[in-house]
Amino acid sequence: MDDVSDPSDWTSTSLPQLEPLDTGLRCRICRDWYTAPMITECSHSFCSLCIRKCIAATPSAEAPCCPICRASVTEVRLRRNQVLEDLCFWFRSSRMTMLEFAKAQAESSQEKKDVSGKRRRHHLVNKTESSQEDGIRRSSRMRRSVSYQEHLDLDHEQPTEDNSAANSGCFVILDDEEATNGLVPCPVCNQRMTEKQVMRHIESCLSVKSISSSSHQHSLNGTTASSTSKPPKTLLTSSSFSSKPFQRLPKLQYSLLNESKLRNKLQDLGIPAHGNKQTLQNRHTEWVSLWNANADLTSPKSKTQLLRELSEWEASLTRYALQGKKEEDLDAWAMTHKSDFQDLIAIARSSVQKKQKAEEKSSVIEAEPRKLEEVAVVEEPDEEITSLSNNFVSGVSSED
Amino acid sequence: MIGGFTKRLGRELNDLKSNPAVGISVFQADDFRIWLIDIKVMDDNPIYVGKKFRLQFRFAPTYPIEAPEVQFVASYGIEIPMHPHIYSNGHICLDVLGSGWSPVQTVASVSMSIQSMLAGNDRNERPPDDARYVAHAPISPKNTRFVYHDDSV
Repeated sequence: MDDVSDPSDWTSTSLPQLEPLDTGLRCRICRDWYTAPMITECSHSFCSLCIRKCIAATPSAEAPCCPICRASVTEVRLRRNQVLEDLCFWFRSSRMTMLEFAKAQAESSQEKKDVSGKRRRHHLVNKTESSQEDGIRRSSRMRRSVSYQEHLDLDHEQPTEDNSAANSGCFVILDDEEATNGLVPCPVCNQRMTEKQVMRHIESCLSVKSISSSSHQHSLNGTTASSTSKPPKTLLTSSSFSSKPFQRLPKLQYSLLNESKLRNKLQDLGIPAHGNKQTLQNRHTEWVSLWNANADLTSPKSKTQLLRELSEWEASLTRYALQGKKEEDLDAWAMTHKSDFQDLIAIARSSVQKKQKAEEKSSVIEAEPRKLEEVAVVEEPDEEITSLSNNFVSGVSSED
Repeated sequence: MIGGFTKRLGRELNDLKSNPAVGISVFQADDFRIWLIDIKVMDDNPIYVGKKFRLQFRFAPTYPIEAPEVQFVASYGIEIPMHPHIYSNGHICLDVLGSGWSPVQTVASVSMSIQSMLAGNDRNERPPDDARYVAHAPISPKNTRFVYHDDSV
């Protein structure tokens, strides 16, 4: 949850070119890693919840459109972008290691820069040498790949190699060096195994890692948590998909429902059913988005968890509404009703004066010993009013 | 996940501070409710040359699905820029702040739109209905139903 990683983490490292990749694996709406990414008809991807909320927030008079290119989108036509989700998962699981490596490298090169000019010169010489070497190596590589392709062009009687050559010359060379036995390294422990084994292995590998090194567990927080609670996405087979208990909820035509019918719908769904129609409607819309986005997750959350999220959402809205009222709106309200306050003050003053006069009259009629009490009675409201009017005056003047 | 709109704002603030666009700087962003962004018009437009303007952004928990509330604010030495789409109370008639909003837009992108709106202006005047609008304007510019009638400016 507390994933505060940011694409800018890469800028000061030796691998700043990873920043666009890091940015590309984040949803453009929430700026966080894709959660259950969905692809639109216009080939843009967003978190399921983000795009669903976005569509739900579109006024009913307008057609929902893609936040990036404004092409029209339909909620039912959203499709899971499994590849993106997997890429995101793989990148995240190795990100911390890569970042630490890139940071360490940047630091060590910084140290090298800091040493004396003599050594710096040496370093430069080394660098040019190495770059020359690099160039040589590269050109030799190219030559090799070219020759390889020529070679392939020449003799077609090797069908097995023809297949691999179809990819690219560079790939062939790599295969040259690393023995083409189809083994791939585990992104966590680097152990080599077949691709299928990696899928199975990575989960256990990650959980072992999270127990063995607490610092690592911390850094990989999001990933380890997800990998222990839910299997990596690629492990999913189509059968586990269809056995999902979560069915998508349909949207409602709120204009066709009256308040009590809508309330019943909410009760049927098992979500809070208090408030007026607008509140019910907003809550239902939010719930449908939450629910349907949850159904897109590889391992959906429980309903209790969703209900908690719904109540958090509602709480944040209420908090905001109250906050808004407390400050500017109240001040503005005081401003617009300034004259009303002054009228009220005037009325209150005159009524007090009337009261005073009436009491004076009555005191004349009544006997002497009651006079002392009257003075007390008369003074009290007077004080109240002056303090009240002071309040209004101060409120108004602070506004000015 | 949208839950934390503050998370997204945190990232935006980080972006604004680490690689700011020319002429756009954060004046105040102490919380995730109101930010003040200072903008300068970078070309030598005689109407705005040497002046600094202050934009106020107000965010609701519905951000970024819904647009933030954006307006110019006056302060000591800082005035509301003259523009045929900017009212004297700071309200801005710009479609990206209303119907043209999209959740992929950011504080930085909105600031830049406004910056370029100022840069492209050559009329040192207020909107024709300024007095009428300001007298009856709602507190929040988002409650105004602007009609975007003039795309030439």
